[in-house]
Amino acid sequence: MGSRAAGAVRGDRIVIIELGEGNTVRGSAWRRSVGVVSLSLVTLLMVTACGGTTPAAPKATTGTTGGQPAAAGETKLQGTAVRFGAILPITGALSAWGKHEEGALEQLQTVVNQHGGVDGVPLKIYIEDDAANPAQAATLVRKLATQDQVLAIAGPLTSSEVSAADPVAIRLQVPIMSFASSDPPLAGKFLPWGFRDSVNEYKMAGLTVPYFVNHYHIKSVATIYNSQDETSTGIATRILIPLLKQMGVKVVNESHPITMHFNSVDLAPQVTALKSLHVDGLVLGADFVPGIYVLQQMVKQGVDIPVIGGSPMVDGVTVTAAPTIPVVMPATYWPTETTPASVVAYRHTMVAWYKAHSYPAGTTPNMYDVNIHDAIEMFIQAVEKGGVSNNPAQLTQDRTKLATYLKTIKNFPGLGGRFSMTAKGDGTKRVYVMVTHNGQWHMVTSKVV
Amino acid sequence: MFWQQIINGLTLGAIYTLVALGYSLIMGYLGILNIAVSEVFMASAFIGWTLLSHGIGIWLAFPVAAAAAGGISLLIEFVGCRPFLGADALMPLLSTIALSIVIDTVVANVWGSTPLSYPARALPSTLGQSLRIGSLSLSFLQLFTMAAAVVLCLLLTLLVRRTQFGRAVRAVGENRDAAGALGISVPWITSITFALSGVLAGAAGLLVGLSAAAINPSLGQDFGLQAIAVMVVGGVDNAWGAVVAGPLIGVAQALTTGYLSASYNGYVIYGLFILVLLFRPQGILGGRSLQARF
Repeated sequence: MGSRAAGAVRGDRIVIIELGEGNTVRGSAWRRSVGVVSLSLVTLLMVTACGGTTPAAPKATTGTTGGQPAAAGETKLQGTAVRFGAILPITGALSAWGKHEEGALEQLQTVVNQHGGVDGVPLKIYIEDDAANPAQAATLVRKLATQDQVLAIAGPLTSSEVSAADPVAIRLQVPIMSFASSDPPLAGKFLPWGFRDSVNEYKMAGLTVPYFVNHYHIKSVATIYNSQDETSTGIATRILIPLLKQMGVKVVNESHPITMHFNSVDLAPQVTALKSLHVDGLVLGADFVPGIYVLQQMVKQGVDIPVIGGSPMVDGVTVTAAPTIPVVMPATYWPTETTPASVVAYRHTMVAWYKAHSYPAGTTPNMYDVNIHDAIEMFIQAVEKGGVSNNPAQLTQDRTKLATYLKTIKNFPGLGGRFSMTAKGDGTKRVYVMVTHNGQWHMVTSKVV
Repeated sequence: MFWQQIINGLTLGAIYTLVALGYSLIMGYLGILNIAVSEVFMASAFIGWTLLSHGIGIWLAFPVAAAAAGGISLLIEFVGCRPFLGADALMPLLSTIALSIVIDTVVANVWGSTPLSYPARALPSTLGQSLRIGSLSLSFLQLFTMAAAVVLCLLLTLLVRRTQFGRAVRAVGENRDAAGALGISVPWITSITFALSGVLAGAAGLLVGLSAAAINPSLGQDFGLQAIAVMVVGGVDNAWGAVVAGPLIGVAQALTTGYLSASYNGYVIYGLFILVLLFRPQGILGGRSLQARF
């Protein structure tokens, strides 16, 4: 198949399905099939809701989305596989997330290849486990770039890992995109090779802090954070506390913060200290694993004050950890039956996938599954439209083209919402202010930031 | 806050004591540092979670989880220690380090790394209640945990000091070859000692699952290191040393966390550990120093 023909086939498969009220779904053939399922579900829901009234059929149009459409359909992909790498914490403290994302990537690779691969060339994702260890992440960048000769790498997960891995990616000139790092100081630090499709934590806190203060009438707070984790420490001390102080909230233990560690299990001493401070709210700098220990200990000691945390607190277990305590946190993924059909369909597909692959009962895709899925989708789009040859002899040039394309990507219709890359290589997308209370997620407001 | 932190520390210390007893039983009498005790402790917390989640009552889950932990410990002895008896003391140490990683991985793969909370119904209503004295709160579970540490220590002491089995254990600890020549089945005694060590760690695992907010596979790493510190500070060959050192380290940790920062816990606990090694290597109540064991 000639290069133009391959491009044309691919181009023909790029579809935008108008759903009305501005909701759109972009899909290749497989995504279109997901779209069909989604439309059926939406139709079914509307029929149910309207007591049998059949809604007007949505119209479908062709077109393209995303960044620069340069060279679309003009380059034949060469090579035996389009290779991408992924660095995930499949073992270690954050393996609950890493295993999720591993499933999301395996599902994506399977579905893309079932539908012809990337312009006819099979997609191959080399998934590596760094156990959330920065040094291991840096080693794996080298392995993926030199041994596996991938075009780009998705990952790693945390800002600490990104700080170690991205400098190696810069040296080796391979594009790398973290799907969860949100530490503000890293914005733009690793360009032109290091990107993030997550949103800067400072921007997200700009939404959560006003809600927290105004809704719960917060006048004073105390802070507990994981002092072994730079991101957790930063969320509490460099993001949430300054924003709270700007709103006139008194931070009673800023000079003597209460700290904990990754392996802290018995948080009774920390919560006893918190209780003695008699504050209106708690600033919790932690990812969900030590975070829920704090919440549950608060329940045990009867400290029922509202809590504000960062995006690393977002996980299913946070919802049920302390039903009596409201926890406010930001998220970039909020799937409901009213979100775009592709998002709903993806959720249904992944629930079935996780079930079929022996994941724990009730496993659903989370924010980071969606982010890494979108990262790989952006890589695919960059290969298709960025003039990448996939010729092993031109790997360096291809990586440069891919990075250049990522830098300018705009309005990419990801499962986590429309995504644009900022000048600093971070994501701009819709952020949802989430509150867990009484064992349920509540989305209270959202905004594109 | 001070007295509440003392109560928090005593409860934490009781858990440390139980895990430390698991270490010191093997270390003190057989001269083997079984690093995997901490992972047996962690695994039993997960076994307990499974039993309680399936509606099995705490009074049945407790002995079953402890017995399962004893079984795991027995397996460790068969695979990681017995082949190296008589070899350099470093060999069983290294093999139990490897086995502890294996157990950690198995647990993470079976139960996952997402924190698991014991079901609320698992705790009998009596243990769930608290005594309130002013602003102080002391739950019956905390009291039960502390009492369990003391009672199990007492039973262990009686077993080692007053029974035929205990005399055999001490004989094997003194000189394996001589004990064997006197007709004591050294492999049998070693196996039973490992199993008992596992039972103690297993009891601690279930207790920590009941008292802590949630459990995860890294549970053993944190408690294991502190328990080794308790064993050394208390004295490796005296079970009562762990009863003294456990609460001492638990209270030091709680007060440091409450009044300074958790970041200083390492200085306080391991500072004490080093001081004891330097100035009283046999520990607070120990009879023989660690050095003398090798």
